Amino acid sequence: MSYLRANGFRLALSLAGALAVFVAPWWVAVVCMLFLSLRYPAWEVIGIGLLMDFMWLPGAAGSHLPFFALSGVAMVWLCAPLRNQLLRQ
Amino acid sequence: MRTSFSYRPPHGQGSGSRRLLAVTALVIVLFIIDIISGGKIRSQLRAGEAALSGLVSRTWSAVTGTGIFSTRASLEARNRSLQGELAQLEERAGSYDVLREENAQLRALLNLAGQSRGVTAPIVSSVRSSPYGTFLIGAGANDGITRGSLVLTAGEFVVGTVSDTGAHTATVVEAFAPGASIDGVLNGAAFVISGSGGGNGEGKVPRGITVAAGDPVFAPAFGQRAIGIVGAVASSTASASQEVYIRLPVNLASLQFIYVVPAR
Repeated sequence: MSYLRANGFRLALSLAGALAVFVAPWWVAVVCMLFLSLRYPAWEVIGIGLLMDFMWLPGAAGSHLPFFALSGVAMVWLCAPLRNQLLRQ
Repeated sequence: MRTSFSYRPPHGQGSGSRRLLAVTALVIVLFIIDIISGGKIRSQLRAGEAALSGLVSRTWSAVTGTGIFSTRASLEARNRSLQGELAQLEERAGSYDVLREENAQLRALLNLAGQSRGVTAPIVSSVRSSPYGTFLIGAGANDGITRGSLVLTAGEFVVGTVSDTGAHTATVVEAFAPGASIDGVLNGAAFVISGSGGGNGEGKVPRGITVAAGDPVFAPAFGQRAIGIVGAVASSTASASQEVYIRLPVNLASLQFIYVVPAR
């Protein structure tokens, strides 16, 4: 219960991002990924990116660059210094 | 005054980084497994999405068929006209409307089926969710769908091509996918069309060519089939070319069924 209280927003954003992959315009998932990566060291960002690529990437497996999964990885790692500064204050 | 510097990571930061590192490694492993297995992971995921989408669609049709989300005025009008009928008949009437719409679309595709051999398939995913201009159809390799097959509307306009197949689903990449380029022919002039997604594209043709809204655009890559019509033309006397905006004559989001034919 305390986990839910502490991480409710993170959980809601993650679920919204994952759901957006299937039913909403793609930029909704991107917004969720961006918010998550700025606020939390969220592994869910990479998960949402991976889900997006597995769902929608055209062509045979390995024929296209998994842009969203790579973006997710870049987001969480590149936003780490900025996030650390924000969280420290 | 004594100044001491010490670095102590914020609470949980170390474990967070380790978790991120683990997930990053996991993602790489999953992609490698997917590639080695010939796309098994994505195929399973897409089949799940197709099933989920079908369930949501049927539920939504049943809910809207009952008139719950109608406006107050239409509900009042409907209420007056259906006052004497039973609740069960109301539900049947809603279902009948849904079936009639589906029937009309399938009837239109039947004409197409008489002309060229192919497969009629439902669209089983959202057409606006994909950043890559792709969507899923409810027919796959088991139904004879192969990579490169053309996906047509009832009006014989090419929507896109099949880019990947699962057992019961296939991924279609739109002809006008964002960032895609395709050669088109408009009133005898060849030009390059840049896709914008959602069945829209744009290109430049010489000013000497007479272009009007509604003119069909053909694609040599798709056996000279039509891929859209001119939606608007922007021309300037200062430019040697005119900007042509092309669109599918039907709203992609409103399509329920498409027709898949083998590429020639």
